[in-house]
Amino acid sequence: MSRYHLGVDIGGTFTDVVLLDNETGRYTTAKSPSTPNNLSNGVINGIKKLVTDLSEVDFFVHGTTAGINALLERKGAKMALVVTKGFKDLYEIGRANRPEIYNIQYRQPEKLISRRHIIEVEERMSADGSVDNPLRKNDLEQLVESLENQDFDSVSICLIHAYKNPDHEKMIKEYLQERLPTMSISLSHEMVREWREYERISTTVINAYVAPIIEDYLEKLEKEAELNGLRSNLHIMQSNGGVMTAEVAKEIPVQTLMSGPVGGTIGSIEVGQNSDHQNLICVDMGGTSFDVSLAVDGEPDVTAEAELEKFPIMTPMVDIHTIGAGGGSTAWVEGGGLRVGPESAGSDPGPACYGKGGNRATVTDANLILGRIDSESFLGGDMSLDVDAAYKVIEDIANKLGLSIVETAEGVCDIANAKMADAIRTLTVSKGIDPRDFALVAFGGAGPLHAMFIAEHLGINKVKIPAIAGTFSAWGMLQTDIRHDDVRTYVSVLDESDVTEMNGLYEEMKISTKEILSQQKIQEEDMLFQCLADLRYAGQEYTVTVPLYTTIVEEKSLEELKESFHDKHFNIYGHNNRDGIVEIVNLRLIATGYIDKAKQGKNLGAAEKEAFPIQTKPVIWENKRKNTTVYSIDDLFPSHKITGPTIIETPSSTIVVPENFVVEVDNFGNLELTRGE
Amino acid sequence: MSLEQNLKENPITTEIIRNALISAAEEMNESLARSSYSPIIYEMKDCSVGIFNENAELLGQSSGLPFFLGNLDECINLTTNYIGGKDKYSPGDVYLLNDSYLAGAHLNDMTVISPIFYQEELVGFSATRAHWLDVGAKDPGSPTDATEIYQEGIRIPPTKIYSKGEPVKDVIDLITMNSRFQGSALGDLNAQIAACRTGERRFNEVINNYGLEKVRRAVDDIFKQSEIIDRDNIASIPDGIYEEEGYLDNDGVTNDPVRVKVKVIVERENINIDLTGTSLQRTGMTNCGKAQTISACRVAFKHLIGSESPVTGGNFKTMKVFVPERTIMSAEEPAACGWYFTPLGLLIDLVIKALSPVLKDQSAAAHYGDSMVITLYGSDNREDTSFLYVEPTAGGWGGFAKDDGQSGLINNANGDFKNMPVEVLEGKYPLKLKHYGLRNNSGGPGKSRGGLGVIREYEICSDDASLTLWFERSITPAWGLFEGQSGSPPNVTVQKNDSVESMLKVSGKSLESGDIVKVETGGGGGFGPPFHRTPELVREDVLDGYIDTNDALNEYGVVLTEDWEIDYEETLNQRNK
Repeated sequence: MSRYHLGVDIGGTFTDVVLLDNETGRYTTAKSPSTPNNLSNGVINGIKKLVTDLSEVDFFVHGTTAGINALLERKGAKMALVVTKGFKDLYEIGRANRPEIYNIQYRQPEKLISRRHIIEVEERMSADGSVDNPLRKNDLEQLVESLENQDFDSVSICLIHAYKNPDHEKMIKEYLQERLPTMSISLSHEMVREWREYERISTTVINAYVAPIIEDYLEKLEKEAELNGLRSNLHIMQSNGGVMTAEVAKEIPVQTLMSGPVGGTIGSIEVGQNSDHQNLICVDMGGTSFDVSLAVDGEPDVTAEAELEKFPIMTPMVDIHTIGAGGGSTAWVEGGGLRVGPESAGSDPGPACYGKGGNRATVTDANLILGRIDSESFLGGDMSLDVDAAYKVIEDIANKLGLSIVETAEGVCDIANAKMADAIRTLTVSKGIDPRDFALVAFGGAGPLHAMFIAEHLGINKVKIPAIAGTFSAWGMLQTDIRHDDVRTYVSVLDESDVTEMNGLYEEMKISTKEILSQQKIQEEDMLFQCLADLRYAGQEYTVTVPLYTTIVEEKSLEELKESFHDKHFNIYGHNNRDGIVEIVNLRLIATGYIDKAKQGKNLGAAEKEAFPIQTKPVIWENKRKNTTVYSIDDLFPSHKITGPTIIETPSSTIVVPENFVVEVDNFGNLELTRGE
Repeated sequence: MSLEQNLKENPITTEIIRNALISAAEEMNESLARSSYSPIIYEMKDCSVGIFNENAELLGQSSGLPFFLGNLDECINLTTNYIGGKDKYSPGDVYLLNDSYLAGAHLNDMTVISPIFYQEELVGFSATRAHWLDVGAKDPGSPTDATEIYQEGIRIPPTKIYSKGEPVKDVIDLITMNSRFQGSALGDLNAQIAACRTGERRFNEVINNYGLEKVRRAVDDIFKQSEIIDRDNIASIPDGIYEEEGYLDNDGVTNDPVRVKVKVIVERENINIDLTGTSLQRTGMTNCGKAQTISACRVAFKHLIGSESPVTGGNFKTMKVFVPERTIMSAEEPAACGWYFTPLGLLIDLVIKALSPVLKDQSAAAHYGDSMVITLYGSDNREDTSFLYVEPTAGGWGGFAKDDGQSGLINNANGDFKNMPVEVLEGKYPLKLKHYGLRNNSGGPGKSRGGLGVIREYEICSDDASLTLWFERSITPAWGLFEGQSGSPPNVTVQKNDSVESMLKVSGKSLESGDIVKVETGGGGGFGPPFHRTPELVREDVLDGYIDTNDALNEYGVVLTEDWEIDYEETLNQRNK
């Protein structure tokens, strides 16, 4: 076995690198400025800070933002879309809904393909999968002509009922491959084998949109890494919480979109596990962003459908909720009341204290006035903050409210913390979860700053702060396995389901995912398949996903599925109907390929001496200025126990510990904070 | 003393409590939408929830439909009066009502109310309203040609369905057995009760955290803040009298157009909406109770001038609505109220139009106007069962100062409703969609173009099917503003063998396999003179097929060459003609 495991995560400002040395069991980390014009430069520069000869790297995993950036900046491929005749506008109309119900000037997000580049072909499948109108070769020649004339990078083919019978999609692909061999082609049924055409089109189109960018990026990176000696596969973090090889990532680039943030969720699960916390609320808070995800029973909470940039994506993703509150949230006065958010000052100009011309008070400005963050060591000292500017904007609000500056600053933080807690509670309640049964894991530059206050509001008793909170996503990526998901729509009353047909569909999915796993050099004995089903009461739209106990459907499985469904429905919604008719809608399969994983790191052992603060400084706690001890995380070891109020500085963030929390250190250097009465 | 100086509680505590109450309402809605049985609730979000204090004043609300903004409070007051006062409530009680003349909406909208107690003191209410699929009207779902409320389903005054935590089984059965879909009715009722319980639990948690006195003081302040915001917003509108009127095609039974007339009087911090001149109540179903009319006026206000802050019991204090008795907006027995939202949609559009001269940036030209509902029902030969398919149809929205109107978007009454995917529709019903797309050339010309309507073409695959249609606004299609032009009116054709027939409203027309129903919805109105639209944008519209070269020439005065380039010289000539 080679020596190193390497994890790399690209962020907006920095590229984070984490290296595990298997010989010593130690992790080392590095940060290098991200290089937006050629992301792989930043990656290689960062790696070289830690290891020069990549031939010693046995496992290299990477979270890339190349795809999501292309989507956000609308810099993807020039595409054509081929659809069934009569349905040219399905993509433009979407679901025709208006989420902002009091907005008479509502506009949908601008689509990734303009109407003139959508081409209809005459063909039609029926809902039962039979051919209603056959596809004709002559029409395809016409299609080739219209594609030839414009220089498209890729074409997506999305036909009605292709989830049920994909023959026509396949036939068009075959024909086009022959006539236009350089064209990149995406088929909707290969992306998602599930009904609902708009969502399937949207998923396929996004995949095609980011495909050339991802391919280009990965090829460059692979070449660079190879030049530096890398002999093992490059692995890419997927949105579903698993990894895949770069080769597979080029086929399904849509799965790289949440590549970065997911690393944090997976890392949280690992950190939770060594103190027996299986149920976690994972909070990733940067200077201006606030993402929340959940882990239940040690597994990431994965949703079958997510939305990015208001476009639906129907492939499984770790459910990451971006909440409209964070360090950048602005404070303002309305009707004599104090409001915080939902508007954010963003990162440019950002909070007033960034000194980039921002003139609106933000949560970060308030934290600075309270002494909770330091003007010189904010986000690991990446930028120094302008205290005077913070005072000025908060004073303006204080005057309007008739409060002192300090009172106002603390109020702004309290409101923001309470709002973040409210948002987390709504999220957990909608999933039938009581947040009080969960531990909170906080990371990112600003996560540890707010975590204890949020925990207080939610009635959460345990908070974990990872030892390497600043490069945590990259670290988390080293804790994963290979994962692939598949789905088949199969609509039937559960009691009347055809067990043979179900087994046939599961088998089909096993064969196709097994192939993807083998392609990534996973041996059969390291593969695990889990069968699941989406169920609902007849008449309902939303489904609940429940696992089968076995990998083969037996007669008794249907009864077991039904029982699990009734129970889970009760847990989520607070009621169920045991006499109700239960329907199957989709069959799902999760294929896992186990890989040799990194260890948590070296056991730290007990401290040799007591923990001494590096300084004391004045900090505001409940409207009172108190001299407060400040520790460095480097000085804290497993036998130490520190009682709040205190502040702990880490290289990448500041941990604010109010009075009723006690801080302890686990064997791997992660902090565990316990809330007292 | 100004209102600001009257605020009593610390603004920080007040704000935390305000946010907690809003989030509590969101949790109620989450619970309701996700556990209900009817697609009309979980998919169309035809529901609304709220938490109220003991005086039935709104603390936090979450609404799936804009129309349900603020009239649950009215239902609580009516219930309290009906049962003989607040001291008649016990912990664990639940009440249900749907009467149109009390609650304002149609009988399908069921309102569930539950008192909230804290240490044996009545401290508030939680309430939910949701649309039940069927309440036993003469036809499945909702008829289009009822002439009396007695044909529209079971009519329920405030009725106790849970007593001290125990279900009143016989009463619940009596109500749900009047639905053609009893299981779904019971499922939806349970979802509504569960949502009320969620609201009750969260409100109690807030009181536990802060103490009842502190919560009450904060709530007083929250109301005052809302009032200040309203007063400031209204004061910013120039004083004046703003009038408009418009027509519905008919009431579905008799043929005369239905008139809606609004007079908006703005005087300093007060706004009065006077509906005098609106049609007297009609034989057909375009009537609604006054409670819902007031709610619609509040929605218009919220669209145009309200702040983004969620509504509370402190809002609308300086808004008055006057409706003469026995009009379509203040219906009394025995008026049928099934399509109550059709005149209300027009009312909202007219208030926006009336105020547009003084609120140009906030306004928009009219949208296509109504829900444009198609109902298909009959027997499903494949499975030997019956089916009922009901769907509102999207259309074009009006252009506005900054942008074109949105194409293919659901009407204002339906909020965040999502259309039914073609694949799901064909999988569930004996229907086939031959065509679903945008209706070219239907957007009203303007500097900002109106959005396009849609076309949906259904082929019937059942030998025993019936069609019911409710399409509207052909007499008053989506108007333009500031010299923008109207969008196209709606159109529906039914093709049987070789004969083609046009109609907009019909009840239970029989159809058989192979018949084709083609519905076309209207486009939105244009905003600003069409000749002020840049030739480049007009060309883009032609290239994408939203308009054709005829419209480019005749409506926009833009001339394109054979290879689709702009002929600037000719365009200038056209525009200067």
